[in-house]
Amino acid sequence: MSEREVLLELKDLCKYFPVRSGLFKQHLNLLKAVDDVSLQIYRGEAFGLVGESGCGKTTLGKMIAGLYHPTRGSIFFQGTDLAALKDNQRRHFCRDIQMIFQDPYSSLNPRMTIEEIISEPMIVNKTHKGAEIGKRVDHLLNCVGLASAYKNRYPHEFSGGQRQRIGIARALAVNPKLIICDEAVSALDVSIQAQILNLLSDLKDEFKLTYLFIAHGLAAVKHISDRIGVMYLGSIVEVAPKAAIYDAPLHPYTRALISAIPIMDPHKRKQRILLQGDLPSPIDPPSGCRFAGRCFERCPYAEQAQVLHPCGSNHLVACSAALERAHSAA
Amino acid sequence: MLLYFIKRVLMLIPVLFFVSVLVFLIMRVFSPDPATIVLGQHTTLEKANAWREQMGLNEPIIQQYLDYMYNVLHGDFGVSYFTNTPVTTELLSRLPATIELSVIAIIIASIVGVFFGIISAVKKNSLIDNFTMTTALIGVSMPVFWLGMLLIILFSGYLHLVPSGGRIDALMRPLGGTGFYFYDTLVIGDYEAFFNALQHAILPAITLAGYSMAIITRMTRSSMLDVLHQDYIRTAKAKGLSSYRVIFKHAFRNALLPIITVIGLQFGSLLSGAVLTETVFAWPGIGAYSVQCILRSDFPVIQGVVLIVAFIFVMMNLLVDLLYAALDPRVKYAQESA
Repeated sequence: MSEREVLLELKDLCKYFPVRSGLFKQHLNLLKAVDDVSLQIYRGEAFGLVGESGCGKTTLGKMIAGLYHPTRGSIFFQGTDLAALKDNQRRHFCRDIQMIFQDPYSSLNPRMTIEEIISEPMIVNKTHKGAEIGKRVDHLLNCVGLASAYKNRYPHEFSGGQRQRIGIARALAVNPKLIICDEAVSALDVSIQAQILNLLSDLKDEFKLTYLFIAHGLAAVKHISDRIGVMYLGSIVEVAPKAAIYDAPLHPYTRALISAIPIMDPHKRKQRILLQGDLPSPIDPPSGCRFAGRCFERCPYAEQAQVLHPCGSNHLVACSAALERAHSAA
Repeated sequence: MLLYFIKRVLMLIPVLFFVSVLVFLIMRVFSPDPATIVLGQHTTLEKANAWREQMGLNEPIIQQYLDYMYNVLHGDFGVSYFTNTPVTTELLSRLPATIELSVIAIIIASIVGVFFGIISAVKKNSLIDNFTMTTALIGVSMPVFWLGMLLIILFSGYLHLVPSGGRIDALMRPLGGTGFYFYDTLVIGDYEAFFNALQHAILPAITLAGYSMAIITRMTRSSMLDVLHQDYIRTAKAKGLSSYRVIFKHAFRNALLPIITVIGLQFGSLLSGAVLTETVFAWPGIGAYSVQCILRSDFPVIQGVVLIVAFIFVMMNLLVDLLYAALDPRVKYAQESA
């Protein structure tokens, strides 16, 4: 695992949305949804990205999938900077990067049959031709556990879990290298969630996929991820292999998230860290350490902007106090 | 589907019954006495009474209604008080003019309205969107007769491009035929007459289309905006589709339902006689004719017109509902009625 090929690299990626207010919309503020995110995803891994609602994780995913233009920064996919491409060139990369969406009920076009939905990406991206397309639709449906006899039906005839399987088949149609799962299971029943997660991890080996898993809780990504990134208020505060995140979290925010995961044993009591206050508004976020307002630890670095620093092997954390502690412990 | 169709057609009966009762009562309660209008104001009481007796207007109102409905069900809508011709003949001779005008108007309104509605939605809050929406607002608010007069003054008065009224020059009128001049002139190959009819129709059609066009534009815009924010549009973009394909293949097809509804309803109201437009342009359709008949208390004609209009309106609604099933896989009438 030491010599790993970087499939996707984000460099100082930013997405600011202009927010106008006032009677004549004269005040212009910037909502900093994603602010200076740098990240590497290796080929063949499943990278979990967690953070609470509104922290910018979906915006990040949409930028990678080409649904949003980044305000600044670069997205290197196999060496090509996608952020610098024009729309019509950018579209060629849709066959390499596909997205599975959160809500399986609204993300399928109600006017199209399953076959149309799954075959359309192959037709517009010209990945397959003629009779191949029909065969591939059948094959994909079988891969995701649906009978190919269903292909002439419409989305409303399926249940939520089945629809998410259709969404997965659709994403797989063009043989993508990277799949972004944007809360792909959070709209489903818990029993169905497990099925879909198992399906995704089976497909990962079969189709040699790389996943970017976006979720709002650590519990959901634990099952499937190799490495995990924790996002807070538009920036990444900690990146580490799964084991390190769960066993030795460094950033106070990650520690709070870990302590919030329920444990199965009712006799075991774990100290739960309760964060005070709410997520600050991403419009004019706090200067200095973004987490300072809610941090339960007193530290001298609250006024300083925190950036990711390496701490041990494959572990990055954006907290000077945590770094010091780790170094003194070592 | 067939069952649903039959059910809907059966529902016509109570609608038409109610409409007939209403118009029958309104005419007899609120209209001036037709006898004095038909015979002139200097007629004697005896003559007027004799005429009323002859027309059956002295019977109790329920008896009058039952007699009328008996005749209607036998295909007899009565005879006009003024021309002494059967109401069916009168209406059939004028209906083609109205249908022709309405069809042209709804085609113009749909094409222009849908086109600008889509552009407005896609380029929301842009200059062209603001311009279109302002124009649509003017279109909705502008009185039809005033718009008609302005168009006559400009295109007919100053520019002499088109005639100011009528359906066709008298000498070119196709004889016999269906009464649909566009069809009749083309069938006999008289292209000069065809273009003459087209010239006559263009201003009233635009005038008539104005309001519907504005309504269709606004409905298209709001329906498209609604659909463009749906998740499956995001999915379509993520598939790597061009924006043209996203807009037409994915968005427009889903936005079509409310647009079809409003076009159907607008067409229904256009068919039911564009009273003001037909009057301004001296267009010999049922709109202008029914105004004349109301002014002179021509009971049988008014009753006939209202029944036909109600019938057309209900049928248009039915047509729109049937189109739903064809357009949207989620709509299935057969299951509901089974």
